[in-house]
Amino acid sequence: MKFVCDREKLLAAFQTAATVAPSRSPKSILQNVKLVVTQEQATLLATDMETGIRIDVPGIEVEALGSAVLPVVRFGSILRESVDTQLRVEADPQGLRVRGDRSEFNLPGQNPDEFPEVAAFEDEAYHEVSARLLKELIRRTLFATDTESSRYALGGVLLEFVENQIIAVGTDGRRLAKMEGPCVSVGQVTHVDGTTIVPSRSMQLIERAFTDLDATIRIAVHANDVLLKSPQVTIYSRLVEGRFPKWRDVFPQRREAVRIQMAVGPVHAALRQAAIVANEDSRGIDFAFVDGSLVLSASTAEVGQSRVEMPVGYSGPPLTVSLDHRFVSDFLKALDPEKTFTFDVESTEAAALFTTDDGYGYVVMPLARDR
Amino acid sequence: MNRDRAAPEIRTLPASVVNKIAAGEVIERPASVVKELLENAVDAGATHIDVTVEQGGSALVRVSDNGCGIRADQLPLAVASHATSKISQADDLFQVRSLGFRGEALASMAEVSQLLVRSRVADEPAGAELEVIGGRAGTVRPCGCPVGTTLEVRQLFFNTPVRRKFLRTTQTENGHTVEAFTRIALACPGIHMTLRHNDRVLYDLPAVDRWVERIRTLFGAELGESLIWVESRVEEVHLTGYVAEPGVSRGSNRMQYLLLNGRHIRDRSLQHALSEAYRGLLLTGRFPVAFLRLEMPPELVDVNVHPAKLEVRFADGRRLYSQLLGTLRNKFLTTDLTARAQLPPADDTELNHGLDRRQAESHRQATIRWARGSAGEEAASQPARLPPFPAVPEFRPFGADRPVPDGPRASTGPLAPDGMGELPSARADAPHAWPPPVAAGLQVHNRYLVTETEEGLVVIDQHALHERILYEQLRQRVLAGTLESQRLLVPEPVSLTPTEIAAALEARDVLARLGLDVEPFGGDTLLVSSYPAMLANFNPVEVLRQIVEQLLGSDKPLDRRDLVDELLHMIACKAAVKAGDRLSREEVQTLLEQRQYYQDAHHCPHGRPTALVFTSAELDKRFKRI
Ligand SMILES: Nc1ncnc2c1ncn2[C@@H]1O[C@H](COP(=O)(O)OP(=O)(O)O)[C@@H](O)[C@H]1O
Ligand SMILES: [Mg+2]
Repeated sequence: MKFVCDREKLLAAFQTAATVAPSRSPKSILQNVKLVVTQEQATLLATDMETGIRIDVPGIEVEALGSAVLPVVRFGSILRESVDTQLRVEADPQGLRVRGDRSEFNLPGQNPDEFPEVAAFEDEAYHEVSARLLKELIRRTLFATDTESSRYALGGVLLEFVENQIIAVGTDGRRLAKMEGPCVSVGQVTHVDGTTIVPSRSMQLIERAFTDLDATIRIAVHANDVLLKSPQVTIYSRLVEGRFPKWRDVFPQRREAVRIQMAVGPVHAALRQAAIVANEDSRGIDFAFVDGSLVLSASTAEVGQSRVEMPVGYSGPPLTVSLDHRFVSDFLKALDPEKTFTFDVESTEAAALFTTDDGYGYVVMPLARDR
Repeated sequence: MNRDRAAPEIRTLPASVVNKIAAGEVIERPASVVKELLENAVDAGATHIDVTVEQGGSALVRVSDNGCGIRADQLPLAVASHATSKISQADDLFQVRSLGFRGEALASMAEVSQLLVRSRVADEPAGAELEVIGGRAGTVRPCGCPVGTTLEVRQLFFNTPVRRKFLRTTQTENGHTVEAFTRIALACPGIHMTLRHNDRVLYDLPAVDRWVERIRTLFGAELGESLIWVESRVEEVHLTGYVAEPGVSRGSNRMQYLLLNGRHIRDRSLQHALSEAYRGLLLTGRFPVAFLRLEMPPELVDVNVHPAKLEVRFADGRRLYSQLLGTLRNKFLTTDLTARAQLPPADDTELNHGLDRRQAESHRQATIRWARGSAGEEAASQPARLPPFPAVPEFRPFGADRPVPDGPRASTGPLAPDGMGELPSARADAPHAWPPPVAAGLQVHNRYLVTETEEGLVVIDQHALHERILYEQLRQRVLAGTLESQRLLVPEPVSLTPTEIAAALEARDVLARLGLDVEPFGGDTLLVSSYPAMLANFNPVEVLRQIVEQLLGSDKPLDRRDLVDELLHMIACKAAVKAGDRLSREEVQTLLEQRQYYQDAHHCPHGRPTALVFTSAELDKRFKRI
């Protein structure tokens, strides 16, 4: 195998692939990225057996077809440290040679045939979603997952495809984030049994690897795994096995509750101020709605008290709900500060519900303490 | 004062009242009936005993044996008070070899229930029966029955409604009943015993030769595997039995069975000896498991000090204490249990024990006050203010800010030690002094932290230290009522046995104070709907189980203080870093900054040591410099 590459383009793709390769593994060949050069294209492959990635690399001038196993750390460093625009790479059973204008590296080679198969996207029936929406779905739900939970399979984001809608749900049992948006089915999409829970790690990879916002992503769901494909990148992931809470039951459907429109930026600023006196063991911020204003307050023994007031369009009897400030902050961080959201409260004990007009909903269970 | 009031007349009480009073002492609950009837069957030389219980024993307790039986003409005497076949003169009291001897049990229970005794002796062709209802005996009537005795006690406390009201749920009462059965079954491996509750067979224990087999059928093979045989004889006192390896322990001392001449007893001093023997081998708040038999001539012990004969008085309690402690220590030293660190010399620890004990006692008192407050009892007599506590600095291994001065507990004066000043006495309270920076620490084997203090070298158990810190913080928060409870989106179902569920529900308000809300969900399921917010990765199932173990372990109805304390320990233990956890340098330093937990006291008040100190003098000596 022999080719000349555009160093920066290869570096970008290599770094993405390298995040999939495990840094430690009993199967040591997995600690590498495989490169396959065919007549049509050059593709980087990496897998940790749970997830897999295939990335097409642009800017390659092929001189001889073939494949090579590229060690993550050393080859990555060469790509990063080199200052050349182009590098010449050559691999054969003797080893791997990389040559720049005034530099040359020799690395031991490994047999590319020993590298495990990385699944390719071959489905005829799939869902289509815009990369922009998919990334937004992930950014707004992934933070609410809980990799530690033993009760449910909460270590991933639940995906549901219902009537040209894609729904993503993440929860850790204390709060739940849900986002939905349009999608299109192509071909005869059969319904798979069981839940589709994509591991958090894979979701992170998906969010990072699909860089072209305008691309269309194909998603093929199987019983035990899922495949996603953009024109350049294919990602394979095993699914998380286990139960997922019935999230629709958890999502409050209320008419009685008080709904207050608020702007993201100012609420976030007030929350950050109120949370100055919160700490690891005292996380609660009281959200008190009184006529015309929202008062955020916190009090922690040995630390202090805070009280921040902001005007809101609320009129009615005073209503207080205590929430973990980090949970609220996670929600606000996922939104554009210019946007508005609706805060929906019913009582001190009932779940607080945050919604936006673009299909995003977030439920937070309140904290209780006897003061 | 009330001189003009007429002096009241003194009367002898009618026999039925006397018996009712006596009944209160001997018969406290259905389990007491089971215990007394079983003891009688054992005394009668039975080799097979069947126990049937309905509704936890409040509806029915029936004990059938194949023992010697009671002659028809003796039946009225058997149920009369102070009538016994087991002793005849006062001196016999110090020679008691049978389980019963007071002649009170049958009379007492006959007074407060509907009792039926049916019995036949071997040389009679037929048996006889006698019914006593609320202390009123019927007539002895002949009946057909096998050799042996069947005693039925129905509707216990039917004529003393107040007592009946004090009975707890069927599950709780049955728990006590099972325990009473277990104690006798443990003492009598040679008797085939069965226990049925509401038609369900709970135990069917065949007669066995080896004691350990009975232990195994009662408590499971797993526990059986962990038992270590111990034995010793000091003059006429013979101690034999099994103790469990330190890896197997319990959250209460419920699994410490002590049999004295075949009689189950409780003895604080011997329990203490047991804990002493395990000192340093068990985690804080854990109790050893033991099955021990003491055999001694009856004259060396007075069993007539407690109506239920549960407590006894030894002629030489102190010698017994050291026999037990010595036997176990010797055994542990010759058994490879776990690498035991050598504790600092005794004279050195003595002082700190005192210090810690005082501290522990003040914590205990505060917790009691809190626990009382939570029940709403004695609210008037309690000050509304919270009890004062020494400030414990925050522990935030991952927080950005470092703790600043550690206040009144600052351990040194403002002058940096240079090896020339008066060291120990400089450790006076210096409330506004900033402590000198903590010497750099080193984590060893992902398990211990090593650092330097003024005195010398300290080796710290990272888990024990962190646990200690968390415990203090939790306790403070609970006392201040600022422990946050996070509600769950979906309540978590936990399945437990009916006994466990009853216990958990009885303790519901205490659990709620700790941020753990449980609700009944029907059948064998409880729902956990909220949990303490500071324990994000808390497994409610496991923790509830341990709590329940603790609840069932307490002898008294519900000792809030112990429960709360146990829960705090448990939570702290769960949340603390474990042996084997790799800590970052910052985490090590943050832990070491909590120096009050390893500097002034090198051990927890009731458990294994937190730290070992090697003074520079000691090091010098070892290196033969002095
Ligand atoms: N199961 C039994 N088999 C034979 N005799 C019994 C049985 N239960 C009771 N007795 C007789 O009734 C007497 C009174 O019993 P109890 O009131 O328990 O007093 P104690 O056991 O202290 O003697 C006993 O001393 C014994 O003679
Ligand atoms: Mg008796």
